[in-house]
Amino acid sequence: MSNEELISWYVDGDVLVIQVKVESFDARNSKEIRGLAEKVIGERRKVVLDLAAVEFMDSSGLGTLIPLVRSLSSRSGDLRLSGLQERVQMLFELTRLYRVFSIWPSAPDAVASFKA
Amino acid sequence: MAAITANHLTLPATIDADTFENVFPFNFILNDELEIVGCGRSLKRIHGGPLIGHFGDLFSIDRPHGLGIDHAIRLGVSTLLLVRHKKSGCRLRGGFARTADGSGYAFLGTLWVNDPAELKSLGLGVENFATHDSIVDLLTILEAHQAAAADLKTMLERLRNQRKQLQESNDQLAILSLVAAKTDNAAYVADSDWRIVWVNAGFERLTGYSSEEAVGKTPRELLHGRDTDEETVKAILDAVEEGRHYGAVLRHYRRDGSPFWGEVETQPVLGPDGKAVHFVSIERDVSDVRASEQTMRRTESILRALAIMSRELFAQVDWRSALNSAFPNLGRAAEADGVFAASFSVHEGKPSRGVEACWLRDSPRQTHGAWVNTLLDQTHDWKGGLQKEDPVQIHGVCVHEVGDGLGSLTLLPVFLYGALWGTLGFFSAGEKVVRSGPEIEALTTAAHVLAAAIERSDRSRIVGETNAKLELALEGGGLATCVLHPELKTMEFDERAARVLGRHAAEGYLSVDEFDSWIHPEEIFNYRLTLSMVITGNLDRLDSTLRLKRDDGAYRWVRMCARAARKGARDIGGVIYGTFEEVHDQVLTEIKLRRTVDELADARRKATEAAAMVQRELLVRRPPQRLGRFDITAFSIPSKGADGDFFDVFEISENIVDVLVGDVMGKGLTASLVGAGFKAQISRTLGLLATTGSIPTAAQIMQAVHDRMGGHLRTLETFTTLAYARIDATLGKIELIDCGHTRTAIWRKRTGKVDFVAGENLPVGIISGEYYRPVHIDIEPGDLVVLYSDGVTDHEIDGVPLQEERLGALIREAAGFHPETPWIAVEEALRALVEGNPPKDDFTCALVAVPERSADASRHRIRMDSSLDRIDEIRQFVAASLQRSKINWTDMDLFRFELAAVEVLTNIVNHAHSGRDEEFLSVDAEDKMGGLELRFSYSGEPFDDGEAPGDEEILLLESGYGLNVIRQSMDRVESYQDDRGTMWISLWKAGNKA
Repeated sequence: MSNEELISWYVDGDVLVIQVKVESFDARNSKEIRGLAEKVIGERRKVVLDLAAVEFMDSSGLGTLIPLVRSLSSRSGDLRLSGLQERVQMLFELTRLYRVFSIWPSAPDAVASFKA
Repeated sequence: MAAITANHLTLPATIDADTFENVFPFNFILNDELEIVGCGRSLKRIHGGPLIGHFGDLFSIDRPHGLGIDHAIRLGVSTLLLVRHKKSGCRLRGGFARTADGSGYAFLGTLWVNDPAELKSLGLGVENFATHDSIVDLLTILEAHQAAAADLKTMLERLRNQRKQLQESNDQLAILSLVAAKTDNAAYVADSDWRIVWVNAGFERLTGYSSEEAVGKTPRELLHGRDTDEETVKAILDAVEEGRHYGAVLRHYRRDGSPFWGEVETQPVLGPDGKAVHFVSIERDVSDVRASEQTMRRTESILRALAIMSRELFAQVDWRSALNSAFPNLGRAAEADGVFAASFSVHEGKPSRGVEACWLRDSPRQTHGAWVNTLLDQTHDWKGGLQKEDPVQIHGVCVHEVGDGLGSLTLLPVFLYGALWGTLGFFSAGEKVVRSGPEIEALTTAAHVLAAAIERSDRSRIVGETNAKLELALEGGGLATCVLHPELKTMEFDERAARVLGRHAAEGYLSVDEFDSWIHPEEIFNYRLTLSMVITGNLDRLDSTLRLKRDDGAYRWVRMCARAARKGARDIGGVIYGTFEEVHDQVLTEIKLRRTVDELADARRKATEAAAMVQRELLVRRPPQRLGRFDITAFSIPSKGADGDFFDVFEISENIVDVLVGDVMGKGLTASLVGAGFKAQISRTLGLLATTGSIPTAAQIMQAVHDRMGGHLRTLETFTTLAYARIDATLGKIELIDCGHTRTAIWRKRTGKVDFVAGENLPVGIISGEYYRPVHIDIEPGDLVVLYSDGVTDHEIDGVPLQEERLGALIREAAGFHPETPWIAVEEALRALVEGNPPKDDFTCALVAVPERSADASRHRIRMDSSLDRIDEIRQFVAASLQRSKINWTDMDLFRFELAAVEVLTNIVNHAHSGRDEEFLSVDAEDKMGGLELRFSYSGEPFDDGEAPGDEEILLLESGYGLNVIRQSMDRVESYQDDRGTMWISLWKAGNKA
């Protein structure tokens, strides 16, 4: 899978929506996804990471999200997650990281939350 | 609640119903018809109400297999049973005990589950299990026992000290009494210039000088006079200034100028530099003795005069013809060259005193010894007679004792008091030639006169008595004394003795029978026997501690010493001089001490018996010969004392057993009870930890046991060495926890070798913060695991300890000879070592044979290279393994397994292999202990399974979420390196209750 195939993105208003395109978000691709995401985010402050395509995620995937949310928070921005499948949801519950992230059922819901 | 009797042990009847219910909530009581007549609250809960009916209708017996109900209950009361409650299907583990009133049986046990989820389905919670910790009770009792022993030891020590102090004070008293209480003795202390610095009352009485007058003066100024022998004084000064004690008799003078004979004992007191800083002198008036000596000297003068008279007589006698006619043999002696002697003897029967007058020619060739021998042999060896005109010198007259009819002619030097045992005098009579016959008669007469004079002087008796008095005075100076006259059957004692004996002084003279009536009946026989032996000369002295009745009727302990005054060793008769010493308190203390010691010994004996019973009944009862798929044997041959060895085995599953051998430091009841406590605690810990959701590891069990027991062991000042082995036939692994125990031996069937494996933990009870680290050992089917106590390796064969090397050879040989039944062969070989050669320490072994892998063991393996590309592959393997598993797994379970497996793979590839794709790893999946285990084995660096970050910490990390995820996903995570260097990570999760 080429880098371009790992993620895609679009902008809705002032909200950047990044879609992770891999089924398994793990050690094989987490570094690349993080690098691409940081590049796309640039100076933006409102970001939605849509994980609707991700069936399986491990701690490497989690390890990608933590620096992103930390970086945005430092710039008064925020990273919101959307479209978590059941197993990914389990990982967040297992690690209790659902307390850290703002999680929404779908990307439009997450975008709307920024506008509310 | 009636007392319960089980395994010959009786639980106290003081256990009330509530306590019993709390300790055994799963109990049930059977009557003799085996009908259930009562049950515990937790059993009621499982059953859904009270159990009513016959045991056989409500329960079946799962283990031991094939055991009939009647047999199990009536004969197998000491067997650990696994009974199944038919209605619920749950199992109870425990044993039957006969109630003390004999009316029935009580089942004492607890619920036994393989899967803690069973508890939930049964509706049981923690409150349904025993909450009372009997181990703590046991240890509390032990601590109390230890404290009591310490108290006893302290009391014993105190009594010893009291006795020592009493002895010291007695010694001091004896010394003081010698110096001060002896009224006739005078004592003074002088400084290094011989200036007197202290005198006692005796000195004042003896010399007439007051203390004020004496202090500052020298003895010479005060006591010396015209007849004081300067040579003796110089000898005293020389001796004591050289640091030596010196005793002498000196002519001293009192303040009023009157002389007396003083027996002076002078002792220097040395300073740190070894020089005398003080002189202590004790002086006794011996004028009376001197007077006796003077009497004797006068007797000697008479004798001397008699001898001179004899010489004059001799001058008139034709002694040659007279002797020849009177003593033919003697006469013939004159023929012999250079030997001329004659002897007169006066015998007064045997034993008797005799007198011999002897003379011989002065010959330089004659020695004293030859002369004596010649006289002794005279009647046999002398030939011929004396020749006329032979010059003869009257050499001397010797009077000697001839008690046995043949006297010795030993001339002894004069010593203290001029005493001569046997020989009374020696008189030079000058040179005379005896010529005429009639003088022989005159000489004989003279000899008679001599004998008579000697008899009158009775000097031997005086000397004998004086010596006996002296010896007693030296031994017990200042003590109360008595004189016993056996022939007169009377006894007299002084005022001091009257005080000691609690009698009026008027009774100072009494019959021996009366005195005997004062003696306690228990001591009279020995007293009379001993005294008679002293009187007859068969015993040197009497030294008896007796109870003597006082005037007030009370008995008091008194020590009596007595010695006979006799002239010679074989002389009998005469008086007995004795001393009395008040020893009542001392004897009572000793009696009390002896009683305490006896009680202590009795308590020790009972404790040893109890310990032996505990050991026999609780510690080393033989285990089943087969547990699960394992062949097992364990035995202990106890030494004389109970040394606290113990062993135990637990069946974890068909393919896993735990076996342990321990040895409590010390002997006796404490060691045995600590051993029993250990066994119970391990069993309890295993059960308790199992209820938390998974089967605990050996390390977890020992950690819990250590945390529970360690403090108590330190309080009891003991410790326990222990080897705990979990043998897993499926994995082909042993998890060994070695707490300072003897190394575990493993016989390898494939190679025939024996390996010894040691762990690294200290004995339990040594330190408080011990962390238990297992050693993992590979095993193969057919291998034999041997755990043993140091009593085995220390066991001596022909005086040489067996030690590890010979033990290994023994195992190798026995197991190699019977490779199909190595546990039997090795046990027989070990038992042969102690046949006719009892062990000095407990000789304890546990042997476990590793079974073949079970045919139905569901194990699957995947082997892969080191690459993250294998993530999908491992997820598929995990999914397939759960699919194959006999356990029903949920999607959540599958996710957790997949997640943990991916995390481990990632960790191995990224960290253990660091991207080296030539490395490999493999994963086994297996149903195990009611769950599924994923077991990774790999090369490279160890897995870092340190503390996973906590919930809050994780947000601060850039990485490291993997460990947290693994631990959150699984019920048990272990990592270790085996003895071949391979790394292992084990993930296990319990299955769900169907």
